[in-house]
Amino acid sequence: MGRGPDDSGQLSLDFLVGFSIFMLTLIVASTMLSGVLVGLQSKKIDYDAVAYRTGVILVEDPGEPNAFPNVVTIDETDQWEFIQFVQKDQVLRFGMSQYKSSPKILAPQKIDSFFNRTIYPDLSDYRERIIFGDYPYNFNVTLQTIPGGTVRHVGDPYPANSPYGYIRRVVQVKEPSHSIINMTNYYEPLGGSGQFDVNINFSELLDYETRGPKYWVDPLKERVSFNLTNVSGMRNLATGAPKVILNSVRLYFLSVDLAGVESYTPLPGTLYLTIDGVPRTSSTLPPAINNSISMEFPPSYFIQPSKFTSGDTSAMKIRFQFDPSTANVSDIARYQVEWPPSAVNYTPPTLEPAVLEVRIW
Amino acid sequence: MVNNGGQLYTIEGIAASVLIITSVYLMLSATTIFTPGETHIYDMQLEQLGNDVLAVMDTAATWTSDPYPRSDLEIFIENNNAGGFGDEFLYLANATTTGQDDNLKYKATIFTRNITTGEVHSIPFGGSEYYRENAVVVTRWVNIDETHSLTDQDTDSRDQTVLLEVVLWRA
Repeated sequence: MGRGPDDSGQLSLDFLVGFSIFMLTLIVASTMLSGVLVGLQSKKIDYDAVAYRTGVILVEDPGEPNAFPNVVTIDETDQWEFIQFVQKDQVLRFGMSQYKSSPKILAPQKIDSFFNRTIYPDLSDYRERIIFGDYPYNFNVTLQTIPGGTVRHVGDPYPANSPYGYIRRVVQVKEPSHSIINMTNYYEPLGGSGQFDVNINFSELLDYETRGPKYWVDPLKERVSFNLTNVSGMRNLATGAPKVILNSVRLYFLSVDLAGVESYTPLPGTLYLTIDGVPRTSSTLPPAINNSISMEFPPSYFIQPSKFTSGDTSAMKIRFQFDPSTANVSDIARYQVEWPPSAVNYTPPTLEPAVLEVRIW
Repeated sequence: MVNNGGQLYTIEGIAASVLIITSVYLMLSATTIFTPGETHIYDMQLEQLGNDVLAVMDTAATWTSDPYPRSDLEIFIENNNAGGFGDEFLYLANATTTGQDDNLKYKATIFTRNITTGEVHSIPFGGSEYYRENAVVVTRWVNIDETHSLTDQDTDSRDQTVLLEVVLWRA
């Protein structure tokens, strides 16, 4: 208002001085304020808290990605424990519990994958999946089934003489099921076609109604194995064959057509089996069998075959075709038969106690 | 050409800085920061361990259909087997992966309610004598069936849920 142009220069210089003092003070004040937070960074407390959190993630969480229980069709990449080195970036979080609904029950396959350094060669692979955050904590995770299991560990050796954060968790490891099928019980006096089937019925194993996830067998995610014993017990006595001969072994899947008729269709591919203690494949069968045939389907084996089968009635069948002139058999055995005790000696999944220790420093 | 319009800015700057410094000083001197003491962390570790052990003991190893899987913990309480309980509890609680066992002690008590009198009874369930060590308490509700042998302790024979309380400390 009526001021000359000569005033304006002095005003802005003065303003500059005032503003500088203000800014300087602000900087000094904010530097002082950061000291407020120093008291919160007590390292021992921090380490213990991180150890606790890491322990919870490992034993109470199923990890990510992880499919919901009882989902019939999944891919290998839907379960982090089946993801291999090439695709390891898809694994967002480790967690060894089998399902969200069954904390502290660890899945053996997840334990194997977690401690597998060929899939996760760098310690940073672990840091970003169990510890998180920017601070590069050192860690050491050990797990042992008791009594006397192998100690499995990952991480740096922990300092013996300086403090570290620590948590110990007592958990259970779900050891997979197994069946022993005594072939003497399947001797067929009248001869028979030489055909013997082992049925793996998914809906029977995934017993949602009564057993629930702790005790059921999830054939897509758990190992399924069986052993045919006393094979010579079904030798064809009429022909006097000295030993039983196995002609072929194939995997069949159950399919249901639109009319609701169920039928089994063979799947192509090689099967691996152990005959009389020697590893074999379905294309290199030995000339004769003395005593035992065992088969093991590792976790995730049935993921691809199960895509052919129909929803909740998924089932697989392993068909052994014996030479009928050497073996008197024509029967079907179920993988899981518990009561009354019969020819199939089934061992259900067993929960073994284990100790997990996490150290952070 | 001098006027005193400019001086106002400097005074404002100084006034603002005095204000900021004073308020920060007041804030720093007035705020007390509570950091959790070591004891709480230590307690948390013991509590977690005790709860884990009771959960493991209360989960049967395999499925049995009679009519549901009975856990070790349930069987120990039904048989009033304090010794068996103590052995398994300490075995699980003291186990480590280093081979050097921990040294935890416990004292357990079962609480039941008599349905006719409505009274709550406490039944000692083994363990060491507790003096004045720093201890934590973990509890678990355990289902027991009517065949239990706690009847002599004035507990009526029916299917019921009893409270197991374990005082746990490191000796």
